[in-house]
Amino acid sequence: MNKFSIARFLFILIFCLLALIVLNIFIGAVKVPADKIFEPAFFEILKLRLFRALLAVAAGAGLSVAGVILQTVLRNPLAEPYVLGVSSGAGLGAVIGLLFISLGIGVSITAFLGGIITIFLVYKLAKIDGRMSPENMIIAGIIVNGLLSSLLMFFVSNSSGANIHSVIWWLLGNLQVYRISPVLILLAASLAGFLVSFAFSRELNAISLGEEEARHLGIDIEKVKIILLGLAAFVTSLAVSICGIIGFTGLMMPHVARKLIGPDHRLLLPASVLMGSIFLLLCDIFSKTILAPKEVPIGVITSFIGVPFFIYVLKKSRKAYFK
Amino acid sequence: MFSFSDIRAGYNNSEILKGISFNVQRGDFTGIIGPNGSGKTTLLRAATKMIKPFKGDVFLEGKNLADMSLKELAVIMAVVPQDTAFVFPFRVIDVVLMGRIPYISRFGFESRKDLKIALEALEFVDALHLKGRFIDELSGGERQRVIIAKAIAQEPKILFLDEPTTHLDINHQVQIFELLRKMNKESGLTIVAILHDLNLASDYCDKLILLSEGVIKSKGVPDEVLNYKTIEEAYKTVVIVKKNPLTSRPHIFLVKKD
Amino acid sequence: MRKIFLTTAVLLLVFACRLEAAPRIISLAPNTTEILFSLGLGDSIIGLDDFSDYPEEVSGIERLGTFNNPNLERIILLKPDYILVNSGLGRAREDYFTGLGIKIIKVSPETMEELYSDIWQLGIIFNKEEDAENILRDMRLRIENISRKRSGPRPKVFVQLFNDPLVTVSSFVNDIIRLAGGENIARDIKNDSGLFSYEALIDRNPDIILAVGFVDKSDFPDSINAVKNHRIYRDLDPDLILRPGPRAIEGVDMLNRIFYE
Repeated sequence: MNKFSIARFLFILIFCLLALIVLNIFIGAVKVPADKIFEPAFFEILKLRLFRALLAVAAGAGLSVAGVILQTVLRNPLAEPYVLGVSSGAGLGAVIGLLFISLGIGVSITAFLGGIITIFLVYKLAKIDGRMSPENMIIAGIIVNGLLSSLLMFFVSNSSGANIHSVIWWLLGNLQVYRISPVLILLAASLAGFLVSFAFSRELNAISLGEEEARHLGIDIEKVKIILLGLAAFVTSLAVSICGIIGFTGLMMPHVARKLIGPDHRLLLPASVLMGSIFLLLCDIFSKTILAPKEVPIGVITSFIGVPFFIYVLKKSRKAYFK
Repeated sequence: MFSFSDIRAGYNNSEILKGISFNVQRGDFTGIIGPNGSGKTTLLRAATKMIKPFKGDVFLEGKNLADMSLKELAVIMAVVPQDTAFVFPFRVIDVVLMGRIPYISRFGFESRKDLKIALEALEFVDALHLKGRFIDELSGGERQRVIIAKAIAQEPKILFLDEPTTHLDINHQVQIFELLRKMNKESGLTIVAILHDLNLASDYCDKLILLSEGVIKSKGVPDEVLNYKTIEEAYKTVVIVKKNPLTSRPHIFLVKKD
Repeated sequence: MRKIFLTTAVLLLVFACRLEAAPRIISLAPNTTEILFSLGLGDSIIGLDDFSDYPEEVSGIERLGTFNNPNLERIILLKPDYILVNSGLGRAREDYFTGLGIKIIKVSPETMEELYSDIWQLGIIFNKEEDAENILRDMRLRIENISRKRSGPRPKVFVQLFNDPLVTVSSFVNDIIRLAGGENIARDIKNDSGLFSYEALIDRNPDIILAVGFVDKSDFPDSINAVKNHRIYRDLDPDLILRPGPRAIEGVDMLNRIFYE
């Protein structure tokens, strides 16, 4: 394995990350001359841009970690953070929160609870024949997703015009924040998610070989699965409750990273996390500027940019990664 | 070294093994044979702690398997499954290095020693030249050798294999068996393998256990187990038994129904 | 014999006139409902959407779903002559109803002048010109009085429909705000509602924020004038400013009071 090219690849990613953070500070809905952005008059806007960039990093990282965990544990390269129903659960939680807003319950909280409760539902459903196999989990996720999405659409279809728009915009994702606290919370959770799954790299590698193979190597599969899936669900729920449903990132980043750097989780995890953050930072630039002063939901942009990029990477030969 | 004591095991309350007992001595190369559905795979899974028997005990080096953790087991026992589907493209050397997982602490990295053991294992199976290749690009025979290398890297005292040569050409089949014999004779590794080819089992195994309908129909040296009456009863087909001139072991010849 | 024949003929004639004079109207938008009632056409309404809630008299009338999810079968059975909508029923449905001989009327004015014009048109269609004239005269008068009350620079106003994400409104409400003496900082948003950039909010620095619709605790940065001067108004009746109907005048009045208190 060429340690030099791996190091170089990671350094390039880190450099891109920093460059995009800087770019996001200078670019926004309001045109501020580059030399003036740090002046006191524009301090508020600078704060907004910084918070937003950090949120993009946090969300991109968290969703990518969740994506890696789910693809490995479910042994399915098409899995993504929402496959276990978290997105529809959180979305439904958000809509219910909106309907009962007069009780003072924050939308983020009901969304988060919605996501977590959904995971429990899927877990219980998957264990229905005793074993929590990947197939069971995926099927349980499909069932629960179907149920909750239809409930969600029921509520949406019964709302008046402006409310429909508002709910749908919530669902499509948004990285705007005024306060630093949600950013820090998600940043901490994503970082924790990354560190814990990195610590379980070896187990994740073994699980890639198969559940029984991993057991033969002495790994307590059930315990590892519960910890990691629970972690992925937690980070994803948190991300959805703060940012809405940002699609495609959690599916694409692990996939692309795997093609570029290989399936060893000690490399896959850092690469996915960096790429996820970079991707969202890039998408957010478009989100902010294309229709200013209107915002374009980031979920729309991720698919638009993601799809052609994904196709390009899929076409590239697998041997692109280092010898 | 390893024994089953009156094991009853199966799935979903249905019993497949109906009271099995046998002993494996240290250094034995034991073959488990029998028709499909006789319970060979269930036996292997009970032996490797993949399923819990309904009744009975499994002993490994004097300890009850039920009292051992998977981690404790992984440094004594290694398993080579029938076929491993690789969803993700690992490199050969990485696959073999995974055999060292039971020995590396959580936050540790592979040491030089681990790498040396992995490379030696690859050399032993004559696959060292494949170390940088992707596992899903290899032929069936090459892949099996790599999986065996991974098992060797685990430094086990006993090795279990599940029909290791089912999908392989004849030349590869012999290659694998020669490898197993080498491991058994040179390294003293105890081997228990589910085998479907009776003649190869006869040539290479010290002991055979014939399973049929969940019970042991016969166990012992090949000469004892491979007599035409026992085989005919178990496999429900007419056979003739003759000695292989090259190995002096009994070989089975099928007789057409006329 | 002749007496019976004559009486029957007269009765039939009267009956026929009544038929002519009583169009069967379905209103699938709250604003068209209010306009119809103000024109004295309440009795002609045979069906309403779920969201029509003013005036009180709507309580006895049958409900027929929403503009984007109407009870088609029931509507067909009711055999309306007209269906009134705000933003429309969708091309396919509209073509279908038109094919059945039902007339679809859209009332979605973007300015007060357009609203006047729409009310006038409806007055003509339903032979209620006098009522229409009265309403319009009334509205114009009240507007004039309000306009005379204005003084000083126009306050910059932001209407928050939703806090997370930030959704604001434009279109008709722009005119309401303008007539009340203010200026909607989001008036360059082309549709009637849209996601708004936090940056633009800070940059355009509204003096007044009207928090209507789905809002929980909205927090805005302290640098915004509306926050500094405690001019964030909640608990307003959104229908007065967001519903293009006769009560829009009251919306203008309400805002005028707020802007210049």
